Amino acid sequence: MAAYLPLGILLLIALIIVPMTMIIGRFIRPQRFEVSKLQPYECGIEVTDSPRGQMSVHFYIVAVVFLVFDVETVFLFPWAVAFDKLGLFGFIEVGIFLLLLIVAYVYAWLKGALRWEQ
Amino acid sequence: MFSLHPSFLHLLTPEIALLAFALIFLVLAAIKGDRTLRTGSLWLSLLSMGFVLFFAVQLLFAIPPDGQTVIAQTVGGHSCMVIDRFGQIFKALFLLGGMLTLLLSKKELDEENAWTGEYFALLLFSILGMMVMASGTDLLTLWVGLETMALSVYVLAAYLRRKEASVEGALKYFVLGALSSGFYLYGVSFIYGATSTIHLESIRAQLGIMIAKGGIESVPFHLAFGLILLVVALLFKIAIVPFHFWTPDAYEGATTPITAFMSVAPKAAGFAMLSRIVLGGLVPLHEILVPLLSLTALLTMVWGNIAAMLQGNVKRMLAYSSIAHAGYILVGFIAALKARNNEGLTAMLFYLFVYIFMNIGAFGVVIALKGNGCEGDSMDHFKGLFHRKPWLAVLMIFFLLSLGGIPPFAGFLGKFFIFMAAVHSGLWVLAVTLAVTSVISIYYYYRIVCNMFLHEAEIREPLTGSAPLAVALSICAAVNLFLILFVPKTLAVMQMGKIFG
Amino acid sequence: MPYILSLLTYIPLAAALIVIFFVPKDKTRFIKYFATGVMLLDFILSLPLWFGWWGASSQAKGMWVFEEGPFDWIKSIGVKYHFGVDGMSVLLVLLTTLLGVLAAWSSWKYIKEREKEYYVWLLILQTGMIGVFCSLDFFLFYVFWEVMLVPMYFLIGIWGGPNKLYAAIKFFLYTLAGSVLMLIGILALYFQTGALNNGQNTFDLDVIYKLNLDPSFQWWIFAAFFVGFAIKVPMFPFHTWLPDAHVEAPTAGSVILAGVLLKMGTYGFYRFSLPILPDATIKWIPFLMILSIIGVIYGAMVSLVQKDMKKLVAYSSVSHLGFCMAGMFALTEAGIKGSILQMINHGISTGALFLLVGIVYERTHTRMIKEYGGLAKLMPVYAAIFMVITLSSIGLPGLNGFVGEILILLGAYHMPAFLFSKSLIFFLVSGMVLGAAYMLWMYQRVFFGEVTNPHLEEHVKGNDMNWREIGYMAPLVLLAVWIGLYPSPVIKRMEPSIKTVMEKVTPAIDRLREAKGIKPANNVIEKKEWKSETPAAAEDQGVAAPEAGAENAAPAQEHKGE
Repeated sequence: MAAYLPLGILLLIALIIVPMTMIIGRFIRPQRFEVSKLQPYECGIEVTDSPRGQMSVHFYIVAVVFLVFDVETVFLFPWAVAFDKLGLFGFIEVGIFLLLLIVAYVYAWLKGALRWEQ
Repeated sequence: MFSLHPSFLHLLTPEIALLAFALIFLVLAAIKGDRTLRTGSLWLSLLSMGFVLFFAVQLLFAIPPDGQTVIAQTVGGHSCMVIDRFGQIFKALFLLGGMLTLLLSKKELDEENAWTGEYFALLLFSILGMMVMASGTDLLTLWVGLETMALSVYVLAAYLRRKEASVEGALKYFVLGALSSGFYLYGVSFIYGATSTIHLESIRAQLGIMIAKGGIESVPFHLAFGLILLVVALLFKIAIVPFHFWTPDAYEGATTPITAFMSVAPKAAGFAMLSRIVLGGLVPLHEILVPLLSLTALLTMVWGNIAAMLQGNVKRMLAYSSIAHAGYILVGFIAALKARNNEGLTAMLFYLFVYIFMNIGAFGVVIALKGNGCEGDSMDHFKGLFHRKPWLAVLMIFFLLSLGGIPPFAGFLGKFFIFMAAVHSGLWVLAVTLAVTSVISIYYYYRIVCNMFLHEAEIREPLTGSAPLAVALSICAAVNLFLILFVPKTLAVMQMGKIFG
Repeated sequence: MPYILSLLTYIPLAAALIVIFFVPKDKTRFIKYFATGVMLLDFILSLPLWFGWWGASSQAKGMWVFEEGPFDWIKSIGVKYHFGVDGMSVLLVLLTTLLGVLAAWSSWKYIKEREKEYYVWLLILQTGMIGVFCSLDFFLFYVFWEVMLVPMYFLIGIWGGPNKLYAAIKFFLYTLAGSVLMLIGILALYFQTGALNNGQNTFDLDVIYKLNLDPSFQWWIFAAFFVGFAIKVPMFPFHTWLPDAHVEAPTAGSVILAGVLLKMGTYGFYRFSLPILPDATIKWIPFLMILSIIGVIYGAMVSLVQKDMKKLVAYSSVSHLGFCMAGMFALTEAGIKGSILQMINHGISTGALFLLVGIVYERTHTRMIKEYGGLAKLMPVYAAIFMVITLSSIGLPGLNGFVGEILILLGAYHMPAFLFSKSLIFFLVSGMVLGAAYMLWMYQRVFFGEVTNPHLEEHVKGNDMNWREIGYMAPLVLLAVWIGLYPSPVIKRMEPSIKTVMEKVTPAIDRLREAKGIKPANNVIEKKEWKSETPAAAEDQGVAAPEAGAENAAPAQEHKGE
């Protein structure tokens, strides 16, 4: 348990410091409220629209498709490194893995996830 | 070293077949477009589930009675999956639930005009995940199963994406489900840190040694913390009070067949996983776990039933009632944990089996009422049902009395075995709570009975029938009514599912 | 006849299924005749239980006169299909089958809507009730016990009075609450049976009767059983469902509720609590007796102030059942005999009273006592029958109520003093007096005096009981007179059964006596006194002295005749 003591102290300090800086700042800073002061900071440029603008859902779909293949690479890399040790079994296993991904890819393709213009 | 002996492959036929079918459905859905296949994909998926069920049941009787067969070797010579009778029974239950859900789906999808191929693919995927949950013997395999199931069910819960309630419920379900998954993984990391293994058997061995040496106090805090996180995450999945908040919204919002499905199959899968983890790995901690789980079970039974009394929406009421039922099943589980014998497990399996038929039946009647702009899920929609459709009302009585545990319906037998296990292992408080709360439950089930039989109908439009729905309801009713004649056989099958040697 | 009990039990169910599947809803006349016919068939089939007594008892093994099974049903948990009746339950089965006929017959006119459902529920109810009295396996018993709730719920809920929904659900929830707690007790017993039965636990009553349980363990099981049975009886603090259910139920429902359903509670005490848990019973006696006395007095007092005839009869049930309980827990042979006889009597006279109230309600659609008056002039036959039943209910010598009550009083008098004080008698007698008061006062207000309500005259004049009504009242009146004059055949049938119960209870009393250091001599003296008293009592009152049984009964009967 003693080994975790520094960690515990760190946690404690972290828990204290953050609220403390906020509280101290609250008291020592000058407080003048004006319209421009209360607006969100935007490099001095006037606010033009709401920050919660809608993004096309396509961005997300593409991101997800990308993520899938990203993860695929992460899995393939260690397999490639240890290929000679894993032998046929490893080969088949990765084959199945790729097959699943290909099905997913075909599905995404057919569903039009990769088509940009509707 | 990694190895998978080919002779073990046949043990995985149900899973492999299901995966193949699911993939085929996915591609088919994409190729054929949403609306061309319609009922075709329903029959196909029903067929494939039946096929898988056949394999699963065949395996159940083919595998040796107590010889758990290791199928995949991973690092350190531990198995990550086991095919035993306990798991096989669960798999059969998931598939039964899935097939009944499919039969319910036709009318609902017609009414909502929401046929897609993905609906069926997702159902198959979620069952695949459940099957892994019922067979995994290490924490990560189980987690993979859990996520496969959960992700599919999140999507299914949000299936009617144009409906606000559906999306809202699904979002709640998703956020809390993701949170519980986080809990789970966080717990696993603590456990791994403390024991440097994720295999349940070695966790049990290490815990056993620790406790044998220095008693329960010698379990280090961080390990206990991890274990508790793990258990809490599972309690989330089976919607045990106080981790149940997502349930009513998700159940109410989801399309009704999916609600029916969610209330039986993922719940059963949660219990399968809970049994694997707690009875397979954390058994030495029973001194802590029994009081802890007993408290949650008690709260679940009390709150689930009381909250159900206050509902005006039948789906919501059934959601709370399913929370209460999870409490009853948990009592069986606790009995198994406390006595460390299979009696409680048998009771749990029996109850889950019966529960599939009574709950899906009740939701099926809600679907039958739907149509002509009437959702069918308000208490008022049941008014005078007996005069509109006598048989439907009679079937609903079977389901409700069964849910309430009135003999001679099957629900009584389920409760009876749970009672028996609880009394045998000396869980008196839980047994009495179960008794009292099941009386409370009758009150709200009878509100529906009362509306059906003792009130005049407010809605008089004829109901649109659906042959598959009628078949599903008849099957459910027949099981509820006649199971009492086949108790010895059913019980014998359920007794095959053992965890304790 | 082999399997007569199963036959009796399932014939009504089969008939119900036939009606459901093969008879269209609008053939109401056929449904009425068919249902009543089936009930009658059931009754006729049950008669051999009475007449075939001597023949059957020679073949029967053990204490059960008619027995079926035990056959294995759910072998792995030791559930058996075991039916059987002894002399005591034969009487209740006969009462059930008889009241079944009368209930169906009396409903012909009363039920005007949804007849098909009505008779179906009535038939299913009959199956449940007969099953309860025949089951010798706790699992089976519990199944029938609960099965019976559902039809009763619908009988009250659909064909009941204005407040029917509340009454129906209250009835259901109360009874269910009791019975699930009872189930826990049953299971606790079940897990004790393994040692007696080669390690296999069982619900079979024959095995459970052999159990020798630790008194403190018994105490808890008794508590569980007590809740279940006391709600059903109903004993005092649990009685609140009864007036609601009785008042709202249709006539036939009330008849069956009062006649049969309430007996299940007393039957449960007699069949299970006394022989299986004798030590606990004795420990509970003061509590049980106080509740019974409160029930007797409270029921009577509340009846006295009722404005509604049916409610009056309902509360009188609380009082009468208090008598039954007091007699049973006197733990003397006479007391138990009286108690069982009183169960039958209550079934007859209260059943008849509900039927009578129903008859007049069908004509006037009111049950308020103040709206009647002078009815005797308008309906003389009705008034006469009502009088007989009223007198039987208050225990006039020569009618059935008297025999039961006097036996109960005798039993209570001979109760060992260390179990409960003899002042019990005083309270029971005052309950009888109050009983006479409320019944006769009601009779006076309803039947005598001038006809003050013009509405009444219009509906009732020249509209006395018709042949159908006389027909279904006749058996009850005849029975009331028969049991009143010649009770020994009835008592004789229950004697062996009571002996086996007493064999279980007496050692427990002796154990307590020893523990309290009281000499058994006390008891002997008591017995002597009692014996010297009995002949006189028997002659005076035309009753068979309890222990003398049949030998005495016949001469007493002749004596009366002179």
